[in-house]
Amino acid sequence: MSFSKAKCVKIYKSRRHVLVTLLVIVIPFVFFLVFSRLVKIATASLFFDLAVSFWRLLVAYAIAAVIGWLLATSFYHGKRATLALPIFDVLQSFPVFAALPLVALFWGPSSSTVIFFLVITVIWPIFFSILSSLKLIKHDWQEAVAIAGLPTFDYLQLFILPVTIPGLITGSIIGLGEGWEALVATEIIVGAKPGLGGFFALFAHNIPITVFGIIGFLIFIFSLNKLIWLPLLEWSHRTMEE
Amino acid sequence: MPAILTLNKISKTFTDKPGQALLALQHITLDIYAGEFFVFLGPSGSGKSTLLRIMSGLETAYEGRVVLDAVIWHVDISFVFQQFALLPWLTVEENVGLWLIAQKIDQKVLHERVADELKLFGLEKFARSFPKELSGGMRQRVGLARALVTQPKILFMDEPFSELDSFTAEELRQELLKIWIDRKMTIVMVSHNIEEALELADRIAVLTPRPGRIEKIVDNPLSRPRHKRSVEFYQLYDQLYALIKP
Repeated sequence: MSFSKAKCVKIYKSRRHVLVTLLVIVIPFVFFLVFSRLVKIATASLFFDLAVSFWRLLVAYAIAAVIGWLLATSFYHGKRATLALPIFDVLQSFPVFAALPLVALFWGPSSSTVIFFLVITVIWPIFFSILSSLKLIKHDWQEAVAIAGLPTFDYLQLFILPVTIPGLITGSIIGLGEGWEALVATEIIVGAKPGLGGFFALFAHNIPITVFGIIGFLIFIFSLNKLIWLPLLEWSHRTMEE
Repeated sequence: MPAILTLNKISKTFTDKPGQALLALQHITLDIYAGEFFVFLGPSGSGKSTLLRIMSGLETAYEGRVVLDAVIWHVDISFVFQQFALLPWLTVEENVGLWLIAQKIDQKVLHERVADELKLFGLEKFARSFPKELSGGMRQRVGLARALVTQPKILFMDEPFSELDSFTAEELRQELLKIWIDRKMTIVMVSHNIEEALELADRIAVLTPRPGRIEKIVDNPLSRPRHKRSVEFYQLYDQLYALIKP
């Protein structure tokens, strides 16, 4: 037994499960390859656009997940919660795109601008999902941990972190869904190039390319969910079962 | 005999619902002596679980004073829960080891002590299992192992056998008695089962509900091992029953 060593997370049920999901991730790339050949655009530049956009989303997601987790675990109970939660509620419904031109003025059509807007879009679903999983902490568990008298680090690692993982995963799925949308919108509005926004802006008058581009984009997101998020979600629910 | 724990005029009012203050406990005063097996006996609503939580430090909002002997630290207190309160994401051995972490002992020693305790309760085979894979009886064995692995000076137990079938409950009671005699700790238990109280306790405090008050503290002079079919046992049973149902 060791509390400190990271455990091997078994999110896939069988080898077949892994193979099927791997296949699924191949499909969008084949699709993009064939698609770019058909409409005679540079395959490399399409993949580059996708990679740049994906990287922006990844950085923004990582920042949002860390900040969202810290905020949720710091403000989920007691007096702090009664004070802070209404504020977060207002912030959440703040129309972020209203501030887009202002921020673009400072940072220009750069990755920083895109990432900044992605963070403030993705963070709320993550924050509120983690919050709701913290609210579901059983009184029993709390008492067991109180008797244990764990030092802060162990308390976070062995109690708060496992409890928040289902919320983090659910929030990530919703947040990334909104994130993809915000990603393309932000890139188009501020004119950040390269990126998927740039791609769609460039072919705005070409209906087939736009339609197939959106389909390819959807397959990509679907594959990502199938490969990573859905197995993770199932696994996290299994670990919390009593 | 020296008191290990003294309760002085403990009262507790619940004000969860606005405008409806519920007096759960009223002026509870008593001493618990080192090494004794003390049982609070009462029907539901008599505040016995609340009292146990006040004594163990889990509940901190109350009136009156709880005085613990100077030798008692947080790590000397342990608790067995009615619904086991195991953490579902930790294995059996991790659940048992969890309460040892605060003692900041060597990893190797921690591992050995957990293994010893698992062996004592016949749980070696289930060390890597998760609580959900175990039956109720096995889960409470984990609950007992977790509570005892810290070698507590005071063990609080909140109706630890009420969720189990009567055979398993009887078996665990016998094991608990053996360990109690062996390790000479103080046990404070809450129960609504007269027979269980008589089988285990040195002294029994009968609580009456609304508000929870001590009706009487009854000495249990029966010698151990106790025979549940003896005349003396039934006489005491009737005496306690009369106190609870006046």
